[in-house]
Amino acid sequence: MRAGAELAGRAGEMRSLSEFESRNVLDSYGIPVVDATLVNTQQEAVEAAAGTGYPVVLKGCGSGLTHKSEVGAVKLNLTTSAEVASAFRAIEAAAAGGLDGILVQPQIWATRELVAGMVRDPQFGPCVMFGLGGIYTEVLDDVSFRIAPLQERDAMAMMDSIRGAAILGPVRGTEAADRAALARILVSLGRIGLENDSIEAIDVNPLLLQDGGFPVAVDAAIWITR
Amino acid sequence: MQGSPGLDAMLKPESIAVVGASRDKPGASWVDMFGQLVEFGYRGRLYPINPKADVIRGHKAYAGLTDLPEPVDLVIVGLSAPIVPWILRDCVATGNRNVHIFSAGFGETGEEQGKVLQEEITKIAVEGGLRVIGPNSMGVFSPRLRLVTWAGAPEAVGSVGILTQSGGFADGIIGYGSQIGLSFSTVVNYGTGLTVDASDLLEYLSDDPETDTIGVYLEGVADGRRLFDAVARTTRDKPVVMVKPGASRAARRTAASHTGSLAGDDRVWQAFFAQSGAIRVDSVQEMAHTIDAVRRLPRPAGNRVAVLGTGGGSSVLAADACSRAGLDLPPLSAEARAELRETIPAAGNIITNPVDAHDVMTDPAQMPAVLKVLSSQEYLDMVVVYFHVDWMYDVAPDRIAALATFLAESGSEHMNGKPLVATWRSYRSGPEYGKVIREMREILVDGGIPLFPDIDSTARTLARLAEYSGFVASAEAT
Repeated sequence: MRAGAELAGRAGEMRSLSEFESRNVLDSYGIPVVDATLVNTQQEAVEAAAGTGYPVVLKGCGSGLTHKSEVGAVKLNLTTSAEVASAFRAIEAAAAGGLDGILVQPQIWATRELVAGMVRDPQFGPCVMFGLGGIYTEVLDDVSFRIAPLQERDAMAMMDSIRGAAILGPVRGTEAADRAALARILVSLGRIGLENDSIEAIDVNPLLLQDGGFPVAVDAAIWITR
Repeated sequence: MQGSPGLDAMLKPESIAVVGASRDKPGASWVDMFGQLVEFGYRGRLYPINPKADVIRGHKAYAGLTDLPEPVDLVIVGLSAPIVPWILRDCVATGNRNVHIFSAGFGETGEEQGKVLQEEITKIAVEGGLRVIGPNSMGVFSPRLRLVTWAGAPEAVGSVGILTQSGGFADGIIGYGSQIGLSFSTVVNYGTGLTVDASDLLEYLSDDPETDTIGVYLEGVADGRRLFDAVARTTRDKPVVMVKPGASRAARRTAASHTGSLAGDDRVWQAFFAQSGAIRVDSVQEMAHTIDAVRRLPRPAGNRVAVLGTGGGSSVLAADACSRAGLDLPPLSAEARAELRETIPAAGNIITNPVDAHDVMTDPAQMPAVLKVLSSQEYLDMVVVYFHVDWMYDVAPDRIAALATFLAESGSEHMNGKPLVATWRSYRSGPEYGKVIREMREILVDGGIPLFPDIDSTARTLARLAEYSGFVASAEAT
């Protein structure tokens, strides 16, 4: 379930920030986000890729562009400047003018995808979500909510309360998730909701567990009231 | 009091006017609220209002609110919906600020006329500063004041406070609760809750010195954040046991048509329970048993339980019931088994967990030593004694009462401060079994040992008790 998508069905006067803007809001609250460079030309993209280090990811970035993968505006695991240039052109064509720019990011490899988010509940105000991410969000529907503000122990209890909580342990040779870092993310999402009345919802999907179990937000979307 | 001193007068009124009091006739029908008040023996000053009567049940009748000799603490309105706006205007004009509207036929019907009427009375109440419970509400039950407007209420005065949107739930929890030994301070069925809602009432019961435990039946709430804060402030000192239906789609529809309020997303309600420390239950019976357990029992240190009973198959089923509910059933240590073996004869008695020991169940003299061993294990937090009524009856009909009497009189003394509860099973028909079961129940209820109707509800209630206990401990640690 996507917190934001669900909310969009309820209220009309809402728009989404671009991924880059959303990422910067999370970053300003200390939520670990993947490095990103916003570029406007093919040349800038190639330079940014070299600076970032291969392999890289290119993503179309624009407010309202919330289903990037579906429209072909995400190109993964690009290993050469030629691939970057070609991906840049393909995304420009796919987005058909709805772009603020294109993001160049390092390719993150991770086997464990989580989801986190915030939604403003009509009765309880800002609520924080945590659960299994990626396609598992839709397939397994395994998420848990807490009402903001969260204490660290609320965040810890929230992680334990999903059915798939074992994924945070040392599974199949991976390292256990950095639960303290995850807890800080969840507490911060609640703070963003409490401190910003115009923010209606946040999706952080996926929230990947990197090597070492440290979480990083790889994609983010924030919905605000106009 | 959280800014609502008027609620104290409203819920502990010293004077009541009943608008639409039925004229004298023998017996009080269920809709005759004035008759119910008189028959229950309300201790305050009573004013029936009915322009067609001079005297009703020995009380001087008045033509209208404007004729009363004093403003009253509570006005009860039982007239049909279209007349209610006129009465509310009279209340505003005469300074009678606290109103209970019994009448139905407003927004809860979902029909246009009802919605229009509800908008009208809401406007009158808000602008006139009226505190209104209802419409569609049975009102207030206070045994200490002998205040009730419905039939069949018990007289016992206690310290359980209930607030409920549903009138049927109020009647249910009072009825079933009384059977298992609960008695009440205040029960409020607030129905639509026009200007007094669940948050106001929760804050009131939270501060009420006559109430030590609170039960809530709630389908929806106007300001969830306020209710959340009020509950979270309360649960450390006063347990709050709550039914919040609306988890399934069918229940959601029912909730909407019943009260006109929305039942929120159940996931957010799960968060509400996890963070506020309110104990979630699913029925009248579960609420009653959970309130009973949380009031009478010491707080368990964890969720690890020992079951003491008899019968191999039923022990396996009991173990499954505990595990389903989220309880741990640790195996007994070799030392504990050896100690128990000193008391319990070998033949036919299996010393593990559950302990399957028919000798102990039929000979209370063995019980103190057994309870002492079980309760002194640091890996056990609670003990369940499981009566197999039919089999104990076969050994000797008086064995059931003998064990119950032992538990009631001195069971807790051997528990090292850990919770001790009882449950039972009986599958035979016949009045002799009904008789010993009633006797067992009375002895245990009077003796303060919580008795649950089956092993599954026992396990669920103990799991909730352990969870609540953990919440309080972690809240106190931070």
